[in-house]
Amino acid sequence: MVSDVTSLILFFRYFIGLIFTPYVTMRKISLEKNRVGLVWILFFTVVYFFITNSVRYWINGLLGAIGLYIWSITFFTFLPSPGKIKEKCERMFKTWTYTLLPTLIWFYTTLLFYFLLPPPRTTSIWGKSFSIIYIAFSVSLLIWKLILVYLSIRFSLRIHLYRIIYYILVYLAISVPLWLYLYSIGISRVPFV
Amino acid sequence: MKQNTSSLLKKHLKEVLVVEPNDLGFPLLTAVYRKINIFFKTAPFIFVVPLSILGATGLVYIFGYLAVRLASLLQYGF
Repeated sequence: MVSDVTSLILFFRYFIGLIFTPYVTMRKISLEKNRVGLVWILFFTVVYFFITNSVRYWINGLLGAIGLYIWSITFFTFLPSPGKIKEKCERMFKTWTYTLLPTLIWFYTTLLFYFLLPPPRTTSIWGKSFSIIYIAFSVSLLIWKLILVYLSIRFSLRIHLYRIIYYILVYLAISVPLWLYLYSIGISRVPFV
Repeated sequence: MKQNTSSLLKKHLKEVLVVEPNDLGFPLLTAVYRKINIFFKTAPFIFVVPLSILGATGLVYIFGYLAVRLASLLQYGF
């Protein structure tokens, strides 16, 4: 019980840290030996897919999310960079899991708004105002996500900016068709990455 | 106490030096990168949120119905 509370406190400390000091916090996460905080991200992910059960088959969505998660970590781990594969994989596992925080916040908020203010939006003043707030919110989370992904690769693989940009572009070149495929078979509309 | 501070400093230095500083190849480019990078290292939302609001307002103002449709599409995307 105590370890659960401790891990929750640690998780929230990192969560707040990634908002206010993403660079220092992500570096700390990559060097940290303790992995208990990660369980909470897994927990919130499973709860999210459990809630969306009423809308579609959650097991498909969860399996898709787990597949994309494993694919992302494996892809970056096996790209050329200094260090041993095992160490890189461990760092990538810890840091990449924390990059799921903006994703989780976006999916939970979208789920909430889906029921509070059901789409489609109209071009009335209220519809436009909500669209501005919602797009701004989504873009802010996307930028935060990109910062976290950059820092995750930087501290896990310990490579320079140019190579990080190159690796992200290669990742997107392979992943975008994969996301489209997952969309076409009805697993996810917005990929859970 | 002195030894404790020293070991803490050593630990912190080791942490800081875990990655080499980025060098973009051109001194001017590296200097610009470092100046911009400061905003991303600490509290990035201070400039990310206002910029996003400005961008979204511009998007809705320029594209009108299409931007509203984008918001609807995103709302269906969970």
